[in-house]
Amino acid sequence: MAEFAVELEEVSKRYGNFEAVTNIELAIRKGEFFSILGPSGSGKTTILRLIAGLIFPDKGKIKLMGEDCTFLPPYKRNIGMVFQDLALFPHLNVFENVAYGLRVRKIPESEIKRRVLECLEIVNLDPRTFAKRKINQLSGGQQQRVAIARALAIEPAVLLLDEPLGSLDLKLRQHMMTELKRIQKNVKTTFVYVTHDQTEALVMSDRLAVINCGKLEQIGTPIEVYEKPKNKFVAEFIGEMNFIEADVCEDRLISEIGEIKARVNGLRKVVIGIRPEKIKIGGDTENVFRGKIEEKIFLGGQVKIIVNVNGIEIKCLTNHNGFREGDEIEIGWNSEEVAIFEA
Amino acid sequence: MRFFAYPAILYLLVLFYLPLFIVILYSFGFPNFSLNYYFEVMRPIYFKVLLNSIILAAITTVFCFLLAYPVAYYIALRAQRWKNLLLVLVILPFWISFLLRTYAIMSILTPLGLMFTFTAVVIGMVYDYLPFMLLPIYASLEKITRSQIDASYTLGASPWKTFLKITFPQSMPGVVAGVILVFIPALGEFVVPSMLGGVYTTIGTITWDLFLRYHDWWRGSAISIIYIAAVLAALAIYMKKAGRIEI
Repeated sequence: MAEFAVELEEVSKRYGNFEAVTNIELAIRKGEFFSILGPSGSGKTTILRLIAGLIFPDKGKIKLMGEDCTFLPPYKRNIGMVFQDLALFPHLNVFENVAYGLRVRKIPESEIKRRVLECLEIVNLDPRTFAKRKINQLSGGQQQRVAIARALAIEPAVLLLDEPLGSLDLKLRQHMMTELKRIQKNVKTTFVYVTHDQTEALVMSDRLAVINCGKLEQIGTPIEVYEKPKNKFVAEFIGEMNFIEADVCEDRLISEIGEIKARVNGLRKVVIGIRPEKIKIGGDTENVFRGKIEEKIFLGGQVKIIVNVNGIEIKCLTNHNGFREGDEIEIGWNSEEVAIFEA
Repeated sequence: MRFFAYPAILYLLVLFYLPLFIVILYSFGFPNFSLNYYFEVMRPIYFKVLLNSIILAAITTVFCFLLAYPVAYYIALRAQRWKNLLLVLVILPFWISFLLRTYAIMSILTPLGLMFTFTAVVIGMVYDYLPFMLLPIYASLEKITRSQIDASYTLGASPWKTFLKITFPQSMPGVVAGVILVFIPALGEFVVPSMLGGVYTTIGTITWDLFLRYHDWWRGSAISIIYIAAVLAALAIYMKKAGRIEI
């Protein structure tokens, strides 16, 4: 038995002159909730369509469950897909939508019925209320659930999800996130989830891949990617980060806010990244800088303050609500909290 | 606001219902009322003509469907940026008068030696009615999203199965509308059969002859009323059947 549900080996795909994805290396484990995160136009949907077989790569190999299926048509792959626009069949009712993949496989009627009801239960739709409904009689969230049930009904080796929550409002989106995670734990199918929303990726994934301009930037667990971003793009794309440019002079870093203590190997110009929540106020740290509070933003549980240090704006997050705009304060951080990137 | 509907209602009353009423009067022998004209046009020779018309209209409808469907499919689901251009090309011949188009067909059929044959009539009819089949089918196919077809593939359906279970059922409203739009006028058509078919008589040509050649308004009216009744009956049955198709 292969360890991986999906493997991409040096896969490239171009459209005319446009290189949609380049040399993608990806191995998604069985039973994993794996996200592909990137800005729009980064090639993440292309990767999903390649896995589905809706398009074929120009170069490279795609394996499903350890078997090469680079050029296998989608209807021979046994993958489920939830489309961005859901792509439900409007001429069929909820039951028939979910049953579609089973009918195509000529499964006996009693088995179809059992399986459809089971899948509707999994996505929390009461079959007694919804089985006979038409698609246009459902709300956005209910349609979402039907689309997921339809894709799960065929018991796919992998379930591909292409930004399925994009069209929902914030509340429903948050609810569906926990639902999706619950469903995935329940059915134990490998989920490959494409999104441009970092919150969705961080909340749901076991591991995630960050992709930009058709290239893989980093693969890791949400914590790894957040705490140890490989480069400036990942750091900027996931969460918030302050960037400070600095010149390396022997073992010191000279920047516009002053000298910074950090460990740097063999670079001449660097960019220092520090998360707002890692910055401490009060001067009890290895690096300390004086600045003036320019802006204070109340976020509910936390307060975001923007401190001007020698002309550079630095964002800090704190639980302390006692600061006022115009106050002079000391901020700082310990060396191990910063990320250092090549400039 | 109701006021704005009056001109249209007046128009319909004067130019549609009033003439229809006059035709009904004449069919009952106006000014000497009798049912004789109905009995006269019930003779087998007229049934033969009605049958001719039905055969011609049916063949026209079938060929229109067979030709229009693939083209509509291509324009709606494959043509992408050529879509609008292709649609214009379909509609373009309709900027030219119907008679002129039929004469144009004659100039092609004559050197082929096909003039005044049944084939010529069918070719002319299909040519004239094709867009009435094509446009409604196109309109219903156009609503199908590419992702529905992709979804069907990922659920295990081959392209052919996808066509049968996803694409074709959703185009049924267009097919139903196209069949009505072609079959009904084709049934009463008289210009094309008389210009291209010579002696091929249809309900249309015989009505034309009775009214305008023999000035026999009474028999002409009676046969028209029978024709209208037949069409309404056929339409009622068809709509009842077609109405069952889930749209």
